[in-house]
Amino acid sequence: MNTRTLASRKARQSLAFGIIRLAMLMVVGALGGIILLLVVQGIGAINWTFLTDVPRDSMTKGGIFPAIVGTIYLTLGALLTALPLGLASAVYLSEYATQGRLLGLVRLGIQNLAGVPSVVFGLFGLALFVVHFHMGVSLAAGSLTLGLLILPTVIGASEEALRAVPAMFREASLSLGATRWQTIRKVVLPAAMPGILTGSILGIGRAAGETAPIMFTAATFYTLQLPSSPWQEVMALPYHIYVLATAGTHIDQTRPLQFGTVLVLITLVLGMSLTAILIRSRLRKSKKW
Amino acid sequence: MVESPARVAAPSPPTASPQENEETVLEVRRLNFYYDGDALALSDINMKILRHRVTALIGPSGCGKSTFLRLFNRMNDLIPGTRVEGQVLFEGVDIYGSDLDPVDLRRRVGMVFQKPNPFPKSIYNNVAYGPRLLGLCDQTALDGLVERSLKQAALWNEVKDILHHSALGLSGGQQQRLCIARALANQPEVLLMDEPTSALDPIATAHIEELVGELRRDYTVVIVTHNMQQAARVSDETAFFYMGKLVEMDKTSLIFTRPRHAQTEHYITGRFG
Repeated sequence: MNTRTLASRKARQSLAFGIIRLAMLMVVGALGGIILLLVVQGIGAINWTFLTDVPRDSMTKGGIFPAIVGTIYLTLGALLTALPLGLASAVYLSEYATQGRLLGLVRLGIQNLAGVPSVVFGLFGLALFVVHFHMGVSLAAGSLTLGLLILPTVIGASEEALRAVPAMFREASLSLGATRWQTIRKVVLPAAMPGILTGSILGIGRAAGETAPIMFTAATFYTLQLPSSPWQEVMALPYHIYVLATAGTHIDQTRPLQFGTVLVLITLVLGMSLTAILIRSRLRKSKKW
Repeated sequence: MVESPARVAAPSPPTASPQENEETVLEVRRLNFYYDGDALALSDINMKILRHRVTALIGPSGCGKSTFLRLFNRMNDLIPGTRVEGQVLFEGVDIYGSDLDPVDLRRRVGMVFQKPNPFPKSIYNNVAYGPRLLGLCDQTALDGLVERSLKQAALWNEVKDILHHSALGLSGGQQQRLCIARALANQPEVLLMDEPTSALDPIATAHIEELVGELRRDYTVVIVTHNMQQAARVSDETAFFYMGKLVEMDKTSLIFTRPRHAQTEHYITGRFG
């Protein structure tokens, strides 16, 4: 029988907490380090011209305005694609479907969809949208591909939000002679909508930063004009970074612009996440059930 | 417990002799109810529920009284694996017969739940919910119906100036009266109440009890209660359930003064339950 003294038990506790703290510091430190590096290296490149002008002199001068606009369009397009589809799937899964083998298969499919590498989505988009549906390399094809990429996230967020709606609301609605559809449309969806939206916006940050899905489907290396229809190709921040850093003819000369572009992209993504988190915390405060 | 002196003992309806006024609204015949396919929760129940009476269902926890109540608006249908044998007649029609739609039934048999459950909408939109489902969108008609329902639920004076405020800002007792108003807005024939005061304080409880007494004039009320004093105060008829069986049912005054079964007597005198 080994009786441990209080001192030794406390020492073990300190050790365990120390390791946990260290792990936490490494995570936060990695994020902090990346952001610090980007700000230090990239802030010099950022000025009004950089944000509002088109690229000039083989990308070594000028700005990234078309890429910013292209990324915003692609992100919105992905949201417009994934939200209706994901919402409908989530409603089916959490409100209509009866437990069973089929439902298990569907869930398994969705989980696997989330694990598919993004480059596979890119090739799939190329085969289906660009080639088969003759969309060409275009904003539409890229939006649809990105939409499919974030579909599992949107379904997950929506299902979670739907499940958070108390069963007593459904019971009350049904007891008043509502059909299941009326109950979903008038009670469940309005109550779940804030959660669905914020969850989806958080998920879409991922789409904004993806390169692989858009490189075959939507992105172009260089265009001076902003897209005027969904059938045009666009510049996009992640692809722009990729090109500047690997494929350009003046890689060293564009280095400051690369950091500047990354800084803009990460600010955009963090800004989106932050907005979603703020909306969510505000809505949580106003909820009383 | 707050009591209005007039309602200490169960009052019998002042008008007419029982024989003339006894019209059956709901009748249960040889009813068995199963959860999960074969777990018998209610067995061989026979019961008649009379129009414009308050019928109380009492019994210890797990005796099946809430399950029984939810048969009348087919809310048990929502639980997978349940099964009903026998008949439940509503105005002579078997509600478990194939040609009756539960959605239609629930408009005629309203329900108030144990915990107040107003929707996260305005007070007005809570009450207007049922009528709107039926397609009523005439503003004047809706306004009238909302006012009438809130008055019937004795809530109008407290909320008439805040109709468009969130229902979640009301107190628990007000929320429960709002739920009653919401059920009444459908103009049902029967109102089912599943322990409607168990989440409320004594004063709010007294309000609801008083209200139940008044609702009797226009509606048939079936109320599940854990509280025997409440059954004695508000009901005309009382049914005592024990372990999935209906032990006895009679006029409330008789059940509480001369129960025929020893089990009933033990329960109402507080020896178990």
